Amino acid sequence: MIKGIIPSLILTITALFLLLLRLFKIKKDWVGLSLGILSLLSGIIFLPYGISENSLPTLIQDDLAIYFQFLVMLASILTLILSWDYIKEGKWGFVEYSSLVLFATVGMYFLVGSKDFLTLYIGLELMALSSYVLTGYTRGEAKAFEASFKYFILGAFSSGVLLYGISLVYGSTGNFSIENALGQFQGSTDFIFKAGMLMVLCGFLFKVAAIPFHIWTPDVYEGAPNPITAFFSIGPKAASFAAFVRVFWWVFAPASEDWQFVVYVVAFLTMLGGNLMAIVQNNVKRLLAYASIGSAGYVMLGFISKNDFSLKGIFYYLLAFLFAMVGIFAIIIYLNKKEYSEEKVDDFKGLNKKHPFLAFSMLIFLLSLVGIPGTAGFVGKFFLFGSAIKGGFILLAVVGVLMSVVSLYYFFRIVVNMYISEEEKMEIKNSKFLLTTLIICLLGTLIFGIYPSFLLRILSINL
Amino acid sequence: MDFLFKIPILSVITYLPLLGAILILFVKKENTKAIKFIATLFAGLSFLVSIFLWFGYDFTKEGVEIFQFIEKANWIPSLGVQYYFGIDGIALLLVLLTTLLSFISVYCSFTAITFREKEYYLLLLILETGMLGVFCSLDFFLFYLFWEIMLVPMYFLIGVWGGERKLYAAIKFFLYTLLGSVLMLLGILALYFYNTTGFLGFQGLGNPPTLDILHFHNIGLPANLQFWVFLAFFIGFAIKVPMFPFHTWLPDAHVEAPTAGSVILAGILLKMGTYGFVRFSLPIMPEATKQMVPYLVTLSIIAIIYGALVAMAQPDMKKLIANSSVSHLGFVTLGIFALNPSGLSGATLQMINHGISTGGLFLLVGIIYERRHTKLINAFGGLSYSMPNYAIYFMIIALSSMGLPAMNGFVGEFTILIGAFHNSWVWALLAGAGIVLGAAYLLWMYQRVFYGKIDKEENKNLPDLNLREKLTLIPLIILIFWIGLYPKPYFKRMENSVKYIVKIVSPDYYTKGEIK
Repeated sequence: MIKGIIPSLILTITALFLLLLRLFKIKKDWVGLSLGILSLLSGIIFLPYGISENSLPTLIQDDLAIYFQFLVMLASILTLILSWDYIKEGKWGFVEYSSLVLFATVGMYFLVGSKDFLTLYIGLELMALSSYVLTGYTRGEAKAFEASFKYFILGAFSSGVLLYGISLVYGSTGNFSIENALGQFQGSTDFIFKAGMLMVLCGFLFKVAAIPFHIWTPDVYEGAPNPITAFFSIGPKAASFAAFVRVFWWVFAPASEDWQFVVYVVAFLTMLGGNLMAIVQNNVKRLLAYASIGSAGYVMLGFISKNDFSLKGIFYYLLAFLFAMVGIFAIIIYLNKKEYSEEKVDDFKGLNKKHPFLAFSMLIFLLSLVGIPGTAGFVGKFFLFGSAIKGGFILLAVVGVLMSVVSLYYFFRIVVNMYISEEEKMEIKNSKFLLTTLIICLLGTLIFGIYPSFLLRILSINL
Repeated sequence: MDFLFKIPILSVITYLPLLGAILILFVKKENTKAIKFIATLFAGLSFLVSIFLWFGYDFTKEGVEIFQFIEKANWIPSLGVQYYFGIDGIALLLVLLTTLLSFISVYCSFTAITFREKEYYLLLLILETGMLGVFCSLDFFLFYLFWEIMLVPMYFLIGVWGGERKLYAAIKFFLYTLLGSVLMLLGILALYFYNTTGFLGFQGLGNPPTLDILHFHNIGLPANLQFWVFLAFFIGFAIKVPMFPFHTWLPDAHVEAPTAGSVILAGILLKMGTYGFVRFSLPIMPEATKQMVPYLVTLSIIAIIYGALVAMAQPDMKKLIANSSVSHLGFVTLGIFALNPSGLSGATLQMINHGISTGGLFLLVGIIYERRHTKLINAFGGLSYSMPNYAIYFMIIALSSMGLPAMNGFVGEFTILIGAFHNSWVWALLAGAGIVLGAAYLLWMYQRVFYGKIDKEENKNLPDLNLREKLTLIPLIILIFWIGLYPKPYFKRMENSVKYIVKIVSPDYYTKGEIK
């Protein structure tokens, strides 16, 4: 009975304990880092114990939940290691920071594994509230404050829409359950049900930053502290996609054709818009923001097509995206001396001459995002495009691959700066923590790219 | 030769250059001598080992047995992806061409590349591994891996060591070829699902998942699916060849690339497109290919004539040769889409010939560029006085490129014309006009560069070819005459491989009892 919630218990207790440390006047940063990582690691270790533990009334521990819970905890671990230098330099206090990341992780944990709409909403809000605070964590910085406020207003609004949608669905079906939805809702696709579905859809599309619900993304990505931007681009996104899949494949299965139509249009716009808008960006973080909007579009290919390739594709692609994004942000942090100097594409000029390993890692991460074989990103895209072809969404698949070509164009502006320009104006930090993150991400990208069967063997996700 | 079948010889050939690249990684970048030595050694070893293939390949086998030196291992079982290497007679010749030209490109760069040598030779070796992998793979996934990975080193070779407009040319090359290959990926996925569960209204075959290329040969795709899959593959290959009107990346990339880059681009990379047609389009989508033949042949003939005319108008030697590639590759595609044994074997031989002749021409232009730092035709004149050896080598290779009898180009083009004539005399006539034009632009260029008086002071005291430069050209010249005078060993090795494809794509060719 209790096995299923052990990881979330560990995380919550650690997060609360870290907050309490202040009472005892303990402000040691390393305590925050080590306890945070330790709790997340033990959370991952205890994850498999909860498999098929189905007796909890609110939480489900199926394959989908386990895999994505693993993904978000991995994202949190990498974020914590990545943040060390950044937060230390600004003297912003790592203990509270660590505790906030843990709270966000607990939120995502519940979001992914929720069995009914109420748990889902609570998980979502816990994740979102922690995110708002984390965005503005470097207090005193005008840009961070602006980003945090923007994120809060729009995020709260979208949560409201989602909640209203949930209440309409409840009104139509008399049930909050996600799990037993399929059996009970057959045929009950009346107008209220569909209106509720549309609102839930809008709420989720906001969370995954799909066009036209993406307006907040570039500003938040730009304004948030670098490690937190890395965190946003993966953790909350992955968790939201998992919940997205669960709710729409289960609860709204009777109205599949309706939501598939909406998602079809949105996926089309998201892939197209995200990638095209990235072309004109000169700020690296904005460029990555648009690129990650575009990649949300690829993930939606898996979401819309609902077949055996879909979940493999979504999971694999998000994992590849995690390694690539965290790795890229590690390099961005490497480059920047001061906080909030703008991160320009030109900052990468001459990186290869100064530090070939960083340039090489960056190249691999960018190739992974483009989807060149030999990297994890390719395997993810292979499954996503495969699921779209199998599902008959040929047009979306064609747009997807064409946009991958476009993404090569804008990512290679960075590569040109790194390898072909001979300028040397940067100073590189020397940090063991960043290097560790970088190596983990590089190994992940390459190993999962060259030998994917290692992961695919265990990745037979059943819903 | 039995021991050859025990060791994974194709893998050895493919990964030797990669091993060299890894070793170079550990050499200090100031130590250029050691870097050059390692690069030459490993490219040379790869070439030496590949010579064994020439003798070890048993060309008497027929049917699927033409694929030899097989290496098979599971790679991603859940997708049916295998590590699957093997070559037929056609791939055999292309592998040999690749190892030879890569070897030459390594030591032709010794003086041409004067900065960032470490990265240069590293990339050159990785590129060689990628190219060899493409020709050896018999699994779609593996093939696609090499096909795309190869683009990255080529991008850097053009982008870092290229000419004035290198960045534009490099990204244009990368974008064009990537565009083609991602569409091909969709085609591969469509084949994969047709073989297993089916999709979009197509009843699947229900086979276990596989991406084994040979499994898909003659699998009997429904006609409309064949058409779409053909189109997806066609764009990828047509860009690579490049066929008219997909050729616009080629002059940019060839002209801006360093000499070795141009040699490899023209000599090997372009052949991947034509090889793709032979290995995939014809045997997997035979019906669609046959339907499209009128259009494909029209495009080929346009390429032959248009490429030649554009070449004639170029003021720059490298641009001239680059555009002549469009014309020559037009011959190759014409031969392929004649869909008969003469056309196909002529096309295969012409792939090799073009690699030798055009590769040689690029080497020659590179040699003069190192001395004068210009490639403009009217910067020269009377070079035959100051560089007599150079003039002779240039003459031989230019004549081979325009197809003079007793040289390799003639044999290839003649065989292709037989194949084309077999289908329609109009094709042969129009393509024949291309040969005349080819002679015109090459001879005209030769005349302007080598004859007349030396009217420019700089050209008076140019040093003639040195030993290393001669060594880059001599192997090519030997091959030119060998193929020109005694092409039988080549035809013998590809005969059954060509037969295998013709049997699939035009099965009534042999049953009608026509002469072969």
